[in-house]
Amino acid sequence: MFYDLLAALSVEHYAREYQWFMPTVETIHYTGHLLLFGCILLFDMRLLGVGSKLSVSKLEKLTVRFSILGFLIAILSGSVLLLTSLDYFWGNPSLVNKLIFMVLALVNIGIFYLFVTPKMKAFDSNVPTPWFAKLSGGISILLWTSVVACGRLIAYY
Amino acid sequence: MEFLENSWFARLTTETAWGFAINEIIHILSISVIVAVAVLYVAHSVSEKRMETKQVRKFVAPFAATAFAIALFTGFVFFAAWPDRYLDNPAFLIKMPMLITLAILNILIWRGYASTELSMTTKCITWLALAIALATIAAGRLIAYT
Repeated sequence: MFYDLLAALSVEHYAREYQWFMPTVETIHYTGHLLLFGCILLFDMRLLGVGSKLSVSKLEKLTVRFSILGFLIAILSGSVLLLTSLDYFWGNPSLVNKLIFMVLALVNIGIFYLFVTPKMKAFDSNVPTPWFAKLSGGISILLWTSVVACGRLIAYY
Repeated sequence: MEFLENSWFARLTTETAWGFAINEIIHILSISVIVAVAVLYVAHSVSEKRMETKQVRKFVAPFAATAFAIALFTGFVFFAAWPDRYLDNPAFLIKMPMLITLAILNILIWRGYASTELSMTTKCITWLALAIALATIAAGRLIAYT
């Protein structure tokens, strides 16, 4: 049923008709992903203890808005990409893995905001980050790297 | 160019099933750090409650330098695998000068961030670097289509 709904929204004809449709959507999708991953990586590295003199809360404010922007760009353009070749993407193991890793990464962000953010003032700067913040940052890097890697591997299936 | 094509890293890319994919993933991850650094510089330069410029410089510079080195190496591995194909590719020929310009702009920003107050020139360079970083992504993606 969900497949039929997506099939009804197909934009396959645009991809066939306009030569620059796919490269444009793909470039936008990449830009979103790179913005998202890069900003998250810089913040996670700070959580892991790199540059301990830099304020965690201020860095978070700088990076989080661009991570959200990157995520929105990636989700919207990714949906369009899905609708260009639904049969190809539907059930692609790499896409399934990518979505699973993405959900896990979002759950990790949720846990971070619930349990780590309230304690952030205690390790804002010039103090070693506590183990739970390091753990959250480390898991985040692993999960988002997996998202990017699986996204790239979609083309190989 | 034959010696490049026969190098171990070029053959790893062309003759193994996962060589190309792994190199591509590492290349993409390094470019994402370059983009994030450009974004961070712009965001920092326009933020009201600004972090100390020297601290930002100290934090960001190692990431920028490492990411550039990895992007250049992984990019070179691709080039070594199919040098003739890349030299004929207009998107690649546009991407290379942009990447070099981006590296030079990053050095200028790094120097500008040595002082406690950011000059207007440095702020403008951060915006230019971000624009070129985004254009580099586009050119990189278009290599496959041209």
